[in-house]
Amino acid sequence: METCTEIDPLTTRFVDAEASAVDRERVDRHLGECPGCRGHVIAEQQAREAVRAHGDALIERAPLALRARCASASSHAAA
Amino acid sequence: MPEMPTGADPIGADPRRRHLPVTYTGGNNLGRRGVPVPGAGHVTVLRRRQTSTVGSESAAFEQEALALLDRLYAAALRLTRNEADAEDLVQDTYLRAFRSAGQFKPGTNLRGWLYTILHNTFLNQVRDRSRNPVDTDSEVVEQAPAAGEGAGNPEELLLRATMDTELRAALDRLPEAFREAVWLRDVEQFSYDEIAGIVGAPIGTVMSRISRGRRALFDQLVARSARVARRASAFGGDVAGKRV
Repeated sequence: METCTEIDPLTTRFVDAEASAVDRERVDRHLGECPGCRGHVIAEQQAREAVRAHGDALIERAPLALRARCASASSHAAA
Repeated sequence: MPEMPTGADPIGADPRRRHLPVTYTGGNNLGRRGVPVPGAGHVTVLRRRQTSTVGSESAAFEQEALALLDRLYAAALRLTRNEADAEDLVQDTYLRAFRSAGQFKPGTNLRGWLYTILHNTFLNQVRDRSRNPVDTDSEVVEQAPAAGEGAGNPEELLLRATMDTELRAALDRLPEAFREAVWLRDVEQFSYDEIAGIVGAPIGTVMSRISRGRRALFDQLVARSARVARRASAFGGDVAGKRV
């Protein structure tokens, strides 16, 4: 069995479904035997899903005054 | 899914090629979804400078950049956690971006380029105000929570039902480097390479920050769910455990 230290750096790609087939297999096998890492991966998946479910709803609208200030920044930059 | 600046080159061959302070040092596949500009060689570019298209090209560039204002402001709020500082940060970012417009390579990722400037401008501002050190990695690895230890799935519904403001508040409680990494990955949906370019860190560090950040965020959300459930049960069992 691979150690948690070997598996830990693979969890981000695993959770994002960007791990290679080989690495996915390694993580899967480890999770089957390690409740600790399983907990970590579940936490990462849940948090990822929570944020992505909200997506652009998390983006605040910039104040109108800021929009004006930034638009005028272009003329200052040109000057 | 946020739009990437794809399709037709948004700003044309930008005529203002000069050496300017802001450089993009990020991953080299940043422009992979962009469209290269065939024949936008230096000579052509220089000649175009004389023509009247210059004004409209830079206007298009500015328009393209300003279309990302809300996204940059939201990211600035996550970095500064303060509206006044976020506004200053965004304004400085646009000022630097417009000044350095000639450094932007047409057909590459404008959103990534602007985020790089935002990140660097933020670091400069923090440094100027000599606040807390920015590198929180070591600090946070220590306190890296035993997240999800024995976490079953009863929280799942609660996590999904979290409101925007609560989710933002939970994010704002994360250490800065983690907060930024999770935001860039899960809200802006940049690739690891792109994030590495924006924050100027190796890709392994970026993935580690995303992983730790998500775990810490999960803990924040679960703790909040537990508080809500306790409060609800205090008002009678009826609402307890249901959607909040």
